[in-house]
Amino acid sequence: MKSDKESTNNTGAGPAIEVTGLVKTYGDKTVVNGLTFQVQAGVVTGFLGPNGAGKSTTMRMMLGLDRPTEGRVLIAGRAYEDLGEPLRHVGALLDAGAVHPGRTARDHLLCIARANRIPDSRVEEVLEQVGMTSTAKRRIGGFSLGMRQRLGIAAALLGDPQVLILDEPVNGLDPEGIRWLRHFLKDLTAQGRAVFISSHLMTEMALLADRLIIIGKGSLLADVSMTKFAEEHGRSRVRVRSTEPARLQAALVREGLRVESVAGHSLEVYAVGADEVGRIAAHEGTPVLELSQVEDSLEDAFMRMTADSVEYAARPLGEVA
Amino acid sequence: MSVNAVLYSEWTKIRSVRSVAWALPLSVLLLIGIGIGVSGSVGAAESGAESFDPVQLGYYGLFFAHVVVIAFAVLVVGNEYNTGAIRTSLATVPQRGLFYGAKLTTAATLALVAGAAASGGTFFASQSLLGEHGVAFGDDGTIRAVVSGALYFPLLAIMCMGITAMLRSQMLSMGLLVPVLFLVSPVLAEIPGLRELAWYLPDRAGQYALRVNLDPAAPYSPVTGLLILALWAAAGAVGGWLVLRKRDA
Repeated sequence: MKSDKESTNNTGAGPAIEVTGLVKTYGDKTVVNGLTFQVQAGVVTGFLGPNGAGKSTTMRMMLGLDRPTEGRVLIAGRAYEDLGEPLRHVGALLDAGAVHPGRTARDHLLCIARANRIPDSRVEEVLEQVGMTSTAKRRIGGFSLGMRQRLGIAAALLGDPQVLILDEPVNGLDPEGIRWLRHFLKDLTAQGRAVFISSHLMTEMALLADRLIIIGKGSLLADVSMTKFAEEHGRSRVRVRSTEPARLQAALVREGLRVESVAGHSLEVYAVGADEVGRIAAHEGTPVLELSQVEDSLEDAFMRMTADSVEYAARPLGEVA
Repeated sequence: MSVNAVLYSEWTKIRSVRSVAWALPLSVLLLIGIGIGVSGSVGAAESGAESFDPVQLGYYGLFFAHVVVIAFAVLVVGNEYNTGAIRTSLATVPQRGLFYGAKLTTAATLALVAGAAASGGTFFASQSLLGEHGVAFGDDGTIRAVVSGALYFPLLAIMCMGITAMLRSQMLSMGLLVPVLFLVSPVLAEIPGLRELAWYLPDRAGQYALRVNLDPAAPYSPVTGLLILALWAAAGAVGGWLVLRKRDA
């Protein structure tokens, strides 16, 4: 196979990753069930789903590690095994623990780099990029999970790829590490690269991703921009309890606000601050017994969306059999 | 993809893990060291026995050295599965045949170098210690024995690497191979009825190629013995490939 100086540039030529009708079954268990989506260059695409939703299986199929039962994945228009020296096109972090503990960080990266004819000098560069130059000569066995994640990200960067696939990169990172990763991913996408990261936590995605692909039980539940998802689901509202809810509701509606009445003389007012609601109530002269801001978190929205597709749901105590 | 690059990567993997890097040098030391010890101490006393084989005596340490070679082979492949690194390896080299071939070639070549050093070393050291009871290089069967001794290492390694790729587990492979070659083979050779079967075990067959004083009970010639070991190696390598080729990593 010829591989000399193939262009790693795929700008302008279709999606960075194209998943079409992807299915994976193990025996009679369907883990990935007809996934179709695209990952674009220049943005961080979050791949979100509860544990067991099929995220890792999908990522393994992207890298040619697991064979799809049906469907296919194209990266920059080609199947993974047809990429030539794949690390020059795609960098992946699948499992930060999947390293030999007896190797030093530098040797680990050398083993990977040399197979794709990436010069040894590049190893020093990526170590520098993830801030591991001083630990390069230490054996990986003594590393924390956070350090292993950084090492895994360094390995993904070796070939200066246009596409990055990172499975749960936030796992084990401390807040400082997450901040570092966020800026790092933004820099990568600013350079026109595609970044595809998985997580089972919405809060992580809210920090990192520009676009969301949400799956549950192997099926696509949503393919939406982060902004749109936040607008639709991150509903901030004010709860107000009054002795005269009907009069207060009428007053609020007159002000052009959306109001819903809830149990116990309470109202919920959307897209407004608590101080504004208080001002209106005072102006109307209705006694207010309670006034509070309620945040419906994105995490809640995600939980609702995937509630039916959670593989390992915890049952409340006492609700046995 | 460049074949040389993948070979270089596999060499880097072997060199960079201490236990793997030291296994083959240790096997050389064991074979030569024990050969010298045995030839120097009991060589003259044993020389009167009808079954005395001066060349085989020099390979006395093979019993221990080959366990280290097995460990080397199991670690080379098993480290990939043990840690999950196989996924990184296959994502780096998606052509599985290239990956597997390069790994086996690299490790087998190193085992051949170690085998040549160990086999030549123990032959010359032990024969010079045996003096008048020893043989000279070039005497009947000696060249074949020394060459077979060198080949024994890579052939055994290839078989064990293949079996480890089949089992995809370091512990399982070590737990199967070491007892079988260390215990089952010698024990089987002592049991009437099963004794015939033991001749076809890889270690017994391969080691028969190291003799110059031939056993009249042997069902085949020394060269055939080496070929039987080679068949085992080929079967192991093919078996490992069949599993790696289609299984999800």
